[in-house]
Amino acid sequence: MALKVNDNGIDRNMTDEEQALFVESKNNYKVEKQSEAQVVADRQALKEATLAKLGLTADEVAALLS
Amino acid sequence: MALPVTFVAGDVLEAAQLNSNFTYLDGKNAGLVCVKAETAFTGSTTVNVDSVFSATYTNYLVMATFTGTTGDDLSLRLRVGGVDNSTASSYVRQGTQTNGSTLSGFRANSAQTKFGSFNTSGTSFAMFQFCNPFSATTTNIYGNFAEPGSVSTIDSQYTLHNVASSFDGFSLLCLATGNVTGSYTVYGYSKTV
Repeated sequence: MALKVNDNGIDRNMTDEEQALFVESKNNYKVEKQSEAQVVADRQALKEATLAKLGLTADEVAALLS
Repeated sequence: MALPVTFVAGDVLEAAQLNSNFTYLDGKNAGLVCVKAETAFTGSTTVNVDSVFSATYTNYLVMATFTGTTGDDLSLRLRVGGVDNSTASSYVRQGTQTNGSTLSGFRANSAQTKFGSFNTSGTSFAMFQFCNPFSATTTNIYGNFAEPGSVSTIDSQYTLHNVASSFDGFSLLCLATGNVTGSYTVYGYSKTV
């Protein structure tokens, strides 16, 4: 099924060329999102490991920094 | 004659004074000028907005509301002559996001920036300012969006588009999944009094 594009207020189906470019963009975007999610997950893991080393809870650290 | 001419009760109105006041008002520029009337889109995976940036204004405001078939992001790219600019890592995005009471920061270099996010339970809202998009220099894009929900997401972000080219429009893309329904309006900031 053709994807829909809105050109300045007018709906139409994407051309094959547009659809191919769009799919390529989607695939690149998926890779970027996964990479961003990994950065967040790594940061969270580091945070938890650091808290464990310190023997403090996140609330206790927040109280120290407030 | 000081303009505008102010009349008080009992004054005789002279044609020249009246005409001067009309001329004075006619020459006034509104602070914000609508350059693209509110435009609707329905079930779209891509929304192209062309020929809205020009030499007439330096800075622009884009306001949009939207909802979608599923939870997704809405990406933004600048475009010119009907072609998106998707240069890798050219959209340098940085900002903060609150999701409920959780605050986080982000920075990313991408082939697009983020215009908003949406879900099926409410209408998202975005307002972005574009500084110098038509000039053949880098473009600054600064704005906010809100995605309502049982826990709302509010995002404040700045994007430097580091391609020193002139752009006359932008596109909104559903690059994750689903499609989007909503509307947008584009305004130019007047630069003369």
